[in-house]
Amino acid sequence: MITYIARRMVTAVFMLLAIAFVTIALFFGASKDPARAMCGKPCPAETKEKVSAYMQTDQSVVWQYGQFVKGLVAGRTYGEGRQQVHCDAPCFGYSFPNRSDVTSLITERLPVTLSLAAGAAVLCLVVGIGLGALSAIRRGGLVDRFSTGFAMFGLSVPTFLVGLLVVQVFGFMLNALPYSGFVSFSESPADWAWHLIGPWMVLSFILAAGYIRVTRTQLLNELSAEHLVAMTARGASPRQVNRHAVRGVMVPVVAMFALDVTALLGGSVIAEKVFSLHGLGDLLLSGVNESDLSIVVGVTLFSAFLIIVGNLIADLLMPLLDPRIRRA
Amino acid sequence: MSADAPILEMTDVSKRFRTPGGFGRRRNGFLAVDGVSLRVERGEALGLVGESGSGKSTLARMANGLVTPTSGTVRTDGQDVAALSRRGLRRLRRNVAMVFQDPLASLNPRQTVRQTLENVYRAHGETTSTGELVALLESVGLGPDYLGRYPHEASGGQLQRVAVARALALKPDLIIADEPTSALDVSVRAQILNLLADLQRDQGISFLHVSHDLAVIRLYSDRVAVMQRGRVVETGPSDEIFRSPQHPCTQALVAATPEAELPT
Repeated sequence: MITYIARRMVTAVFMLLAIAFVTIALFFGASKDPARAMCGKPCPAETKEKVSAYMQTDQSVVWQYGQFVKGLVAGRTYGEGRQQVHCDAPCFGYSFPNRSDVTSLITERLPVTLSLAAGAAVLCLVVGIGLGALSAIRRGGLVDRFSTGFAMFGLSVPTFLVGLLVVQVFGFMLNALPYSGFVSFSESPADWAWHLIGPWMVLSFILAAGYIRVTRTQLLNELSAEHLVAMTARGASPRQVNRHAVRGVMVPVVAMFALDVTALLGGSVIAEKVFSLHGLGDLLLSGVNESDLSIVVGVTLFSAFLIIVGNLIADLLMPLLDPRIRRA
Repeated sequence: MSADAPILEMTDVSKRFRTPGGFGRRRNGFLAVDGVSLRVERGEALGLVGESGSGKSTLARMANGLVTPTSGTVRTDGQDVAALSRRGLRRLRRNVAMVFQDPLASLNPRQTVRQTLENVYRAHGETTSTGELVALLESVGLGPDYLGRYPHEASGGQLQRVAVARALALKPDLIIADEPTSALDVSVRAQILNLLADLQRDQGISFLHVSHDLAVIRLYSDRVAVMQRGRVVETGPSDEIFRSPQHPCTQALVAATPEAELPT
């Protein structure tokens, strides 16, 4: 067990290093010059060169990658003398437009993304599993028809449309919900939730669709399983039988949830944009717009790390839920 | 209940399944069982044969209330199954066990043999000891090491033994065996059938044995009922039915059985 986790972790480190290299190489290949964005409006060639040297973007991809890995272990220093900036030991890069190291930029934005992800995850589980289970139990009934349609809609409609509709209807037309801004939880939990209801609704609406469908089909499969008929035949009560059916539904739901939660924690670009929230998705977007390599690499690695950890947790949970799944 | 009443008595039982309607399709349903009367005496093994789709399984499942008849009465252990409350039905099922065709499907894949067996006791608010479970497994010819196994870790024949053990757990008076050997290899088929025959002889358990295989029924049943398209077309002692089948359907079934040519 412990060796298994250790092995997965070692693999993960190599995977992350590879992802970092690909991100840096792709960014390097893009035609935009990061130094051009930093050197100001009238940009003489020599100033640009100096900026480029200072940011160390004039070097080859391999050299930049080497520096990045070195920075992770030993920290990294840019420039000399008065202009010198230092980035401490686990250095994921330094953002020149923001004059800050990427690590603190990420931790600064994390509470927003965390709040967004937590609420959306809880809401989509409750709505998705609830509606999915209800429609499986009363198959063909009113709830089933409603939630199947709801799921179909959620799967086919893009996030930004739902987001804009929510802003328009609840924010502007009904004046019922705030349409932008963020209040931290420690400041006022009520205001925090109040500001996040809109984005939670949007994200969980999109995500819940998948859970409705998976829960419904899986529960229908389970309920018709012969071992449950056998239980009934041997005198088990409907409650006991249902408890067994639920176990079977858990497996795909947990697998799906692990992926969705990690994706949410990595930042939701569109929802954050629509509701003007400054989370990780927004950070990534600004990094791309400002040709800020360090931010792009940092946020990408952070998301990749979450996905790897999320998958590991899901893989560890699976055999507990279903003994037929055994680790090789 | 009353010791002299037959363990199972069906009077003029019918079952009509609803079929989905559609454009230009009449919604008159499918008559799976059509006015069948049948009885199983205590300690007797009744074989129910017929081609697929003849209503055997539906009929068998009406005995413990898994299927509710559209008309007619089913009296199991002297009680009218349709009149039983939910609790009454559960109490009845304690006494009427069932063995299904596919053991891998009829055992919960996420539970060990031990959990599966324990659940039977738990369903009726009882507890059990490891010693009891080991004895139970022993009675179907399995060692105690099977307690910790999951269904995917055992073979079909072993699993069917577990299913039989599950049926035996609460000492039932009647076991409904719905094609208990059709999913098994020919080599293990005889073992399971002999196991069931021993149970009938040693513990006096009555059997309703559903099969499409007349040769199986002949060897392991006292009496035979032949079904065709929802009706019982012929009933009688096994040997008699086998020796001089009256109904064309029975004759066809007998003729299709290879062992029919062997001298007895």
